Amino acid sequence: MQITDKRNEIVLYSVVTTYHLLEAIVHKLRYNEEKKSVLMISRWLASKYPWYENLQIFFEQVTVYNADYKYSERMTEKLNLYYDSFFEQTEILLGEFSEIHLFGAEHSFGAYIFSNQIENYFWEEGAGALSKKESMLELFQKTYGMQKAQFQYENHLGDGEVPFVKGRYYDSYFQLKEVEGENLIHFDIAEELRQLKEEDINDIVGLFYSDAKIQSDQTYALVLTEHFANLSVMTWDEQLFMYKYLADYFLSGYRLLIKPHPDDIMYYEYEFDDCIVIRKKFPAELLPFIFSGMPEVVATSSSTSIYGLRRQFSKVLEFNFRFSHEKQFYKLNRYFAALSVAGKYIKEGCQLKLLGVNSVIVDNFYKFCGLGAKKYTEYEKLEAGSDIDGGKTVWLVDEITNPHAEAENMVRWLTGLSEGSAAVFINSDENYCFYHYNYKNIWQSIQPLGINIKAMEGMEHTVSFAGPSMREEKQEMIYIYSKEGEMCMYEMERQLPHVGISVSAENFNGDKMQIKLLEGMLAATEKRLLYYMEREKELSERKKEEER
Amino acid sequence: MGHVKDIIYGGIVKRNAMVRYEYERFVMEHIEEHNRKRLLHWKVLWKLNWHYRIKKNEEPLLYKDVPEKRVEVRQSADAQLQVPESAILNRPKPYHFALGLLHYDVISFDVFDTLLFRPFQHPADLFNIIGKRLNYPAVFTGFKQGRYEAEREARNQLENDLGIREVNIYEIYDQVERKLGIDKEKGIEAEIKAEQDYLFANPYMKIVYNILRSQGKTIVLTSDMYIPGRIMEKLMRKCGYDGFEHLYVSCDYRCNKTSGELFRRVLQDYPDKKIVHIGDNQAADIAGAKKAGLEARYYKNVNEAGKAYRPDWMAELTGSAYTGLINAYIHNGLNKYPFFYEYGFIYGGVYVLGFCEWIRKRVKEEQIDKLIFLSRDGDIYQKIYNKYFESIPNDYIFWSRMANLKYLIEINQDAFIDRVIKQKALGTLDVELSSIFECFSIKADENILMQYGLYPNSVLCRENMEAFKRFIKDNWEMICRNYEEEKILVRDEVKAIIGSSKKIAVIDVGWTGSGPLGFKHFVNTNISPDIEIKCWMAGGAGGYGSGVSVLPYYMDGTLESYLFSPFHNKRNAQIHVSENVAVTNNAVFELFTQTQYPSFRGMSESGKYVFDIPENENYKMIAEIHKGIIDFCELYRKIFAKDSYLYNISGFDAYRPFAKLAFNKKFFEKNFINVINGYGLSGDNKHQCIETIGRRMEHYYANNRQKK
Repeated sequence: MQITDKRNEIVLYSVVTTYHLLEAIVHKLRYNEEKKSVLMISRWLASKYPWYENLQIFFEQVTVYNADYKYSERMTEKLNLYYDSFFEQTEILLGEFSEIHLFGAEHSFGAYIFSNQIENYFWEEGAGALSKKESMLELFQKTYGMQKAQFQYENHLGDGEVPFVKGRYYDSYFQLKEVEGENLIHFDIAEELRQLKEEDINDIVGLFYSDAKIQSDQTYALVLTEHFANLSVMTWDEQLFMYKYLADYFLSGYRLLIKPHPDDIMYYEYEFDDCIVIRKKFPAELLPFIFSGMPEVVATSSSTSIYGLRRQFSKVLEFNFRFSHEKQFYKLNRYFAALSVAGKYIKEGCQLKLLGVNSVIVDNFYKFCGLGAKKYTEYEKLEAGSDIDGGKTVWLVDEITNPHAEAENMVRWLTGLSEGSAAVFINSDENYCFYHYNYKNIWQSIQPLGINIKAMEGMEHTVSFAGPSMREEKQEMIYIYSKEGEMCMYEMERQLPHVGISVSAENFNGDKMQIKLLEGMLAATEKRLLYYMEREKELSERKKEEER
Repeated sequence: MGHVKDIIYGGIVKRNAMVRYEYERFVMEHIEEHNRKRLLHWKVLWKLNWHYRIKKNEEPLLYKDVPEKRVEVRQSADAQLQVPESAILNRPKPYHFALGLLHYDVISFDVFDTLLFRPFQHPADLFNIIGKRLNYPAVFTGFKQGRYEAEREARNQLENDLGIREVNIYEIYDQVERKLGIDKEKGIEAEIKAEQDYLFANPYMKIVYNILRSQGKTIVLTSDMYIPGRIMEKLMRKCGYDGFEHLYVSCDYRCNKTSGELFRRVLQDYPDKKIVHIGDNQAADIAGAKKAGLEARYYKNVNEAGKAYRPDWMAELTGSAYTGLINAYIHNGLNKYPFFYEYGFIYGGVYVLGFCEWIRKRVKEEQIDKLIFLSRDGDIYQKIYNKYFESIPNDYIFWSRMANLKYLIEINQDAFIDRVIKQKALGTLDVELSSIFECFSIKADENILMQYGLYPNSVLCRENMEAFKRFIKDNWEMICRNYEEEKILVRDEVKAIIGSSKKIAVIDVGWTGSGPLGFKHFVNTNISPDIEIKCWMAGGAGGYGSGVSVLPYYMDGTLESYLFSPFHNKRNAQIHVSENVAVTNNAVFELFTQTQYPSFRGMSESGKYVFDIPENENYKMIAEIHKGIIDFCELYRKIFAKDSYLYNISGFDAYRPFAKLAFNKKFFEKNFINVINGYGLSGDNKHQCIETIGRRMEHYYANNRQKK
């Protein structure tokens, strides 16, 4: 039997980003510990980590290369010259490597390897990338231009689906849809890290994070931010307010540990009292190893930044794309009020059902505030008779597709609810989807509930040279319909100290109730009117075009 | 060959941002066929070049959802016509600005007009405030002039003595004491106090500053100033800036930025560090820094940025306060405001606030015991008045031109004919007679109508106008009787509101005075002749060719107006009446005081209020305009609270911002053509529509061409 002396084998790891680097280190320690290895790191990474030569504790040789070297269909010759010369300088021939691990194949070295059909192990660009090729290609084109994107597409630099790729490494936990292929190899960085020896973990952490461990425990919440303002998803103030809303509604009682995204330059330390901001840039995957005691909660506004960490914390606060990109944090006060109201019906034995509601918000209110219910059924659109078999139900209703056209269906649906049921209309877009002029009598059974938003003392709304204050005092309205037409008193109050407001319910009766109903009816009518006017305009423009 | 292809690609694709965007997007969306159908894709490329580069079109050709950043904002002399004023400068967002500084070790900031603002057009205008606080009598020279001269003298003296001009505040006030007789210590204290009261953080730079501080950057401040560093430090902290490592002030170091010397001191203290300086003055901050070997970033001065858009002819202090506040708010770079919000903030706020202050003063002088705000303009006046001023009893009454016409019909036959018949016949809408009857609650017998060759569905026009006039005149008594019952209902409502008041002031926007005078006549005729009624308007244009002579009412004090009248601020009155007639300044000016509900038409038999055709399309715009007005009022009141005489804005000054717009026909044509604004009374009741300003303009120009 021939015993292969692995110590004579040389492995090449070529990385572009921090995530790639971490994967390379962990893979080397897990699977190629005894083999010699060479690390190629991109110039960008070398400038980000000036201590990169310390990586020699893991790799026998560390060299810097130009991952951004231009390439295209017409430039492969130049590319070849560049890398031929590069390997001459490193004094290692490409052919000597027993394994070539290619991270960031879309960059110049990947282009070189693929255009020369050199055998390699392909690593997906980021967790889940293999299942979202189209969006990755679009992003690539925006960043690097069409010519490079074309080359990438035609040569399969994004998916590695070519015969000379011996294996394709991917993280199966994060794929959006099933990825097919025979040479797929699952590799989850969090899992693999936990398999390492403690001294190896300490070595890795020590490289990226040389500060003392952060003193923390279960009374802490770790918040991972995104750089939404930088990406123009929202304004600077909105980003700040979003995190303040998260902190006040869901993380009150916790001391905050904030780890900003590497591109997030928000000054959280001046906006959140007593928080710790971890400014040092290092892979988020290493976070669990820098605390003296694990925080109980990890929180983020979108789930992408929580990859690999979810399983390591007792509680996870995460939202979805809609929460950030559609700025649904503005609706939290309404959700809070609606769930408080729904709580009364849930106690009376109603099941909870959602229609056009962001269920992630409902989940989080339950997990962190005890509001609502753990179990519920979710609907995206009205289904005739959906309540009949369900028995006593409390519905939370919000965004309906085409609310003006669906109004009549909505009202008929309301009248068909079971005994003991109720519907709470969050009405966040103020579309009054439950109003139809032919069913004004329904309005008499609707109970408006005011949500008073007042500035906390010392934080009153004033306009300043920064523009109108985001702490504007106002009253929002939700509407409650109960089958029995009962009008109840609701009490709820919440202080949001970081946002600087208090939220409380205002019940109406007598004349004030009538006024609120009329105001609502007027607003609904105006909205409907504007909708029909727009429609008329569209139709007449279309008619004119057809006549032309 | 590859190189040549790159050059061609660059020339045909990359040179134009829109060509590049749409072509590359098209290719990416059709990437599978790109090699097979190369000719087709080249055809698309050719079309794009034709559309954008040869025809110079701006509208997207292939994709309507072009990202906003691709639409370039070109700054030009009339740039305000294209975009809201806050969008003209197009400063980078503060965090993008900060990102560009992160690779420096040390960031030096200029202080005044960069980190800190004062709400004045020129820094020296603060001296007016200081002089007033010191009770300097200004017999021959104002304190501002004297203070300015004292500083000049101090600099000259220092130059004679030491060859430098970088004085400090003590040296300046040595001169002040000598020339103006003001105690030196008192003077210095007053000046520092005034700076404390008026300096505030530039919100844009505050974000930049905090970002850099949180990123661990070394921050220093470098300023050409006569206030010593130890005092400036306190001013900085009061404005929320701390954490800076050093403060380099010209009077402490006896050198300035322009020469580069002050920057060399920074370099000395931070050798081998990458340093950048940020400031608003080209000579001192940019050229000076570069002279010393520093890099520099320019932040355009907000008053420079807003200069082209601010009015002239305002009184020095009011003008300076208004201009400084507007420029600091609009041009700091933090926000881009919606157009109509800016319309309210920049042009409406100063007038509404000034008008309310004027009302307050007149109430006191005349000892008015009740204010009546007439709808709809009185809505915003009442809101602002009640927010800021002592509350004497006041009420809001639904009244309108239509109410005036109907309830004073016995004295208004010609006006009725003119406004009901002529304006509709010669207007832009095709209004049927039945619509007019319904609108004006006239119960007309069809048989009688037919005698004039008219029918309920006849459209009122030039050809049948005379017939309709004859019908109205012949049936005048019947028409007058129509309104008897309604008048009683209205009388009772008004009586309840007036209560036991003996001297009231009625508030309206303007213009001929018919609104408040009509209301006065109604009250004195139908309720009591003993109630003294003052008629106060924002602007009085009666007597300027309107055919309405209300001059005796001005002369006897019954009628007064704030902004202008036939007797005062006549230049403004002339501008208002004669400029921009196609659009009419009234229509656009009244947008400041419109409401989100329609005009009052009258009362029904059952006593319900009846309203005219709603102008739904305007409501969102009105909300924005009012928000702008309310925000301006709040900010102005807050900023100048310590010197509240600044609330006393003259009518002349309050109109000047709008006057500047009145000459700018393109501004109105570009931004107001879709705004609903009826000509005359009401609109087409049957079809529930009212004209737009654009339609009225077209009609006006068409008529004028015909006349020529």
